[in-house]
Amino acid sequence: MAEPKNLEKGDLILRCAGIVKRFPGSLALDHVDLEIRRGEVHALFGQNGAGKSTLVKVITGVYACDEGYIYIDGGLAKLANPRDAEQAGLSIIHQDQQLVPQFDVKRNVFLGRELTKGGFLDFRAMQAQTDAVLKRIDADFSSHDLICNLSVGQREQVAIAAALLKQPKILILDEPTASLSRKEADKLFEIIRSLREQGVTIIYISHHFDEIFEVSDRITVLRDGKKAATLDVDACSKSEVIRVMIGREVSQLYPKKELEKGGVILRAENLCFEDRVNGVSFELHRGEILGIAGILGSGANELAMNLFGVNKITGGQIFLDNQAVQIRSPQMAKKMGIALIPEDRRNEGAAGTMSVKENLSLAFAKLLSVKGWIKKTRERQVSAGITERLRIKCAGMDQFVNTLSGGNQQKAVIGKWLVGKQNVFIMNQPTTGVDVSSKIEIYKSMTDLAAEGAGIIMISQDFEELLGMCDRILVIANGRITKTFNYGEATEHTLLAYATVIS
Amino acid sequence: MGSDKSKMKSRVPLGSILLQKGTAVGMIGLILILGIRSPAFFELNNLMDVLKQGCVLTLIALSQTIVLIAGGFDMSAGALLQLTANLAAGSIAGGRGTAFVLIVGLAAGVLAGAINSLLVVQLKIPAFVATLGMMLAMSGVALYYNEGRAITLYDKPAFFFIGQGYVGVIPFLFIILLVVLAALHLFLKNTRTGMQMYAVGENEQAAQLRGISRKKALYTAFIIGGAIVGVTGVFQASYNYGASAVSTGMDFLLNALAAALLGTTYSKTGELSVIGTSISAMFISSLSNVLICNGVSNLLQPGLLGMILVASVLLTVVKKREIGQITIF
Repeated sequence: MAEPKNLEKGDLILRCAGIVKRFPGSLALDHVDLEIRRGEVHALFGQNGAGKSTLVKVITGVYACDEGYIYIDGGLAKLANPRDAEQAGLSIIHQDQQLVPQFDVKRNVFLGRELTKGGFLDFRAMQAQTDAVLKRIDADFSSHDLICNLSVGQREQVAIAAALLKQPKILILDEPTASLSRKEADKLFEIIRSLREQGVTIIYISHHFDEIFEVSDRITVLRDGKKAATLDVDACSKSEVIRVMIGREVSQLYPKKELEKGGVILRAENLCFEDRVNGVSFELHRGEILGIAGILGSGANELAMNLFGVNKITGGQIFLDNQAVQIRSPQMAKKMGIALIPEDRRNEGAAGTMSVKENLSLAFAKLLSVKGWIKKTRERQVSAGITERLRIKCAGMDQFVNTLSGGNQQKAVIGKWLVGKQNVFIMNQPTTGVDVSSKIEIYKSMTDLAAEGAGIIMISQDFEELLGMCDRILVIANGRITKTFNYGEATEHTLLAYATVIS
Repeated sequence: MGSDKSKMKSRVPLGSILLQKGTAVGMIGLILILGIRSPAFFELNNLMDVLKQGCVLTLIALSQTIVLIAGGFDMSAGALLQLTANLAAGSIAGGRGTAFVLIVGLAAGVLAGAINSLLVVQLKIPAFVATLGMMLAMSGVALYYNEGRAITLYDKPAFFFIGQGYVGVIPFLFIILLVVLAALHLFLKNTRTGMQMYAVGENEQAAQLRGISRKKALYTAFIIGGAIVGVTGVFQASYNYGASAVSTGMDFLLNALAAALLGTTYSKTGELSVIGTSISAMFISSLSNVLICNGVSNLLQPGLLGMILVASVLLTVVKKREIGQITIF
C-alpha cells in the first residue's frame, strides 16, 4: 500500500501488521495490515466471510492472532482478552447489541464495570453519567428506561452510550445498521459524524456500500481474508470499491445472459393472503428471472409461501401455462412443476444430517425408486450428475450436508430440484450467508435454468444482486407491488425508496 | 395498517394489567375468599402458624431463585435439605449442641453447592443432569446415615426454639427468613456481583462480552443456594422434631421451584426476584392451611397449585414474548 501523505509520527492510532488467523481447515486472515488514523472514520468493507469480523475479533482481543502485531498509539499491544483491548482504549459495539432486556439503561450501560460506593452499587452516579452521555448523542430516552421498552435503534444508541462511557480511543461499530430502519440509520450516521467532530476515531464495519460512502473517510477492503486495498473515499469511485471487493469487474459478478423470453408460464392475478399480501398481480415468462425486492415484512416471503402452496391464498387466482390452478399444498406445487428454494435453508431446505446424495434425491425419491425401494445406483448416478453440474464442493456423495459450506449447502438445495422437471423456481434469499464465489455459482445455475426455459422468481433483500440478475424487478411493500422496473432501469436507491413506501 | 394499530392499542391496557397483576390478584383473592369462608384462618395465632409453616419452603425457594437467576438449575435442593436435617437430628440426638449442628448444616450445604458448581461449571455437565445425580447421591448418604428410619427428637428445648420458638407473637424462624430475604435482596439488587448474576442468567452473551464471568456467577449462586438449603435442613429438623426417613425431599423441591416461577409474575418484566419468590412460597404453603380450615382435604393442594402455576407462568411467557424474549419457561 502506498504510504499516506503527510503522515506524521503519532498520526496512526492503530496499526495492525501481518495479522494471520487460522481456523481448522481455513485461513481466515492472511497477513492483513490495517492502519487507522487518529480522528478518522475508517470503514472495514468486504463481503460476508471476507474476514471483517475475524479481524475485529483479533483487534478486540476475542481471538488471539497466530501471527502479526498490533500497535496502539505506536506501542506494541498485547491483547489476550476483551478486557485488555478495552484497557488499551478499544471499545466495540457488536452487531447484535447484546443488552439485558430486563435491565434499565444505566444498568446496561455500566454492565461489567459498575460503579460502587461502600460495596454497594452507586445508582446515582451511574445515572448522572449515563444521562450525560445520552445527551451527548442526543438520545430521546433516559437512563431509567427498561431496554425491553426501547426500539432497536434506541438499543443501538444504548450500546454506543456504553462504549462512549469508557472514553475509548477507538470506537468500533460492527454492522451497526443490520437491523435498523432507514430513519434509525440516518440518526446513527448523525451520531457518528458528531462523534468524529468530537475527535473520536471510529472503525466502521459494513458490507453495505452506500453507508460506507456516507460516513467514512477511508475504506479498507478485505477479500478472502486478505487486505485488498485501502482507499480514500473522496478519491475513489463506487465501482472501483466493488471491483476491489470482489476481485473482478462488476459485470463478471453477475453472469447474466440476454435470453429469448418464452410464453407466460405463471400468472398471478390479484393474489391476497390475510393482510400480508394485498392484491399482487404479475406474469412470469419462460426464460425470465423475475426479481421481487422487499424489505423484511414486505409480504415477499408470504408470497413465496403462497405460490408454493405452504400457505393457501385467501384471494386471487394463479395460472400455470394459462390454466387456472389451486395450489393447496407443497406436494401439489411440486407436481405442477414448481420448486422452492426456501429462505431458511438450515431448517427448511436441506436435511442437515443426511448425505449430499440423499438430499439431492429427497424431493423426487419417487422418480428414482421402483415400488417404493430407492434404486441406489440410479440415485448415485443422478446425484453425481447434479453435483458436477452445480459444482458442489463435497468430499463425496456421502458427506453430510450440514458439514458443507453455506454456498454448497444452498447448491445442494437447488440441486434437489434438478432431479425432477421443474419449470418454475422460487428462490427466496438464495445467497444469504454465502461467499462470493458460491454466489456466482448460484447465479450461474439460475442463468442455466432460465436458458433451459424455466421461469425464476428471485426474492431478495440484497437489492444489488436483483439489479445484477433480474430481467424485471417488482418492488413490494406492505403486500402490494409499488413499482416494476426493467433491467437497467433501477438503482439500489430507487428500489429502497419504493420498498419503504408507507401506504 | 391503520386498523392494526387501533386493534393493538385497545388490546394492550387490559392485557398488561392482567399480565402484571394477574397472579398477585389471583393469589390474594383465593386466600381471601377461602379465609373469609373460614374465619379460623385469620386468627392471629393461625396466621403466625402459617408464617412459621411457610418458612422452610420459602428458604428453599430462595435458594432455587438465586440459582435460577444466574442461569443454573438445582434439582438437589430437596435431597440436601433431607440430608442436613438427618445429620442435624442425628447429631442432636447424639448430644451435640445447636451451634455445632448449624455449622455442620452450613458446611454440608456449601460443600454440596461447591460440588454442584464444579460439575456444572468446570466439567460442563448440564445443570439438570448434574444436580439430579447429586440429588440421588445425597439421598443415598442420608439413607445410609439414618438407615432408612426417621430420627425423632425429644426434649431439646434449646434446639427446638429455632424452628418452634416465638419472639413475642412472631415466629423466630420467620425473623430469620426476613433477615435472609433482606440480605439476598440487597445482595442481588445492590451489589456488583448480584447484578452480574442477573445479567449472566438473562443474557449470557451480553454478560460475556462485557467481561462478566459466567463461572463466577454460577459458583456464587450454587454455593449461596447450597448454604441456605444446608442451614434450612437444620431448621427443618428443629421445626419437625427430628428428620423424616424420606430422602429425596421432592415435595419441597417441586413446591420451591413452583414458588420461584410464580414469583416471576410479580415483576414487570417477568424477572426472578427473591421478594416475588417469598410471597409465592408463603402462598403455596398457606394454601394447605386454608384448605384445611375450610374443611377441604389438603390433598387438593397439589392439583390446585398445578393449575395456578401453569396459568401464571403462561402469563409470564406472554409477557416475555411481548418484550421479545422467550426462554425455557
